[in-house]
Amino acid sequence: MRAAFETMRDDTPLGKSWETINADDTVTEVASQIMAKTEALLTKVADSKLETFVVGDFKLQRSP
Amino acid sequence: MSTSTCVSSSAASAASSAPKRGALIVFEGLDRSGKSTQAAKLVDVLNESGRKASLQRFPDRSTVIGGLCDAYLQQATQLDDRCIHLLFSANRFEAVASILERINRGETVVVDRYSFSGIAYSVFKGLDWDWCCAPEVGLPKPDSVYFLTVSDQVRLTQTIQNSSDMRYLSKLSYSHILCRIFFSTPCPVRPP
Repeated sequence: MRAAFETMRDDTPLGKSWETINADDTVTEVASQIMAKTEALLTKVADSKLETFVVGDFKLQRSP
Repeated sequence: MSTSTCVSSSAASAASSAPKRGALIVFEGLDRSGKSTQAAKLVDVLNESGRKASLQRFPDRSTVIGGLCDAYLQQATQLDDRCIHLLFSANRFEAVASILERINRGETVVVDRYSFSGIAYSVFKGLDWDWCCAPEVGLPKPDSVYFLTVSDQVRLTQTIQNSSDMRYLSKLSYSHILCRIFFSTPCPVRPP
């Protein structure tokens, strides 16, 4: 199942930016999952440029 | 060596000595999914590991516009749906300078709720999708969005364990509609 906003930035050098995380696990388990994703992200963003939202960034795949 | 090469070399040198930028990370999700807990935890872990990080919550109730948002959320004032949507968006723009300043000096900014919540909640109230998205143009685009999902069973258990939070019981059914907006598809779990 794709989230309404999930297509955002799929095609950028940073790759997919929308991560759906199942938070049913314990706080610690979820936190370690998030930290692992963040570690990978931090190595990639350092040399990239922060962008701003433009028209079309929120385009829906289908109507809600 | 050509002039342009010299300029390029000195520019490269300056760039290599400049601090690497931090990341903009956003936590989104339905009520009671653990956004605030996980956002705060991530900031703590990053700081403990020697990487600067700070938390940014929205709405930021410390500003004038944030105060209006707070009054609306506390039901101390009534506002038109479009008006409050724009105020929430303006509240995010108020924080842009601070967010960019932190990111440019190498700090990772972790945001608890951002444009996506603002859009989803207003669409839930019946406003047009495109209209709700338009005011967000120009805001910094997050490097990553962590969208937390939690089953109704877990959310209900949390609510029952905290009897002072019974108001959230009534939110369970409306969260299904919000879920449909976030996922743009019928929610897989039936309302209680």
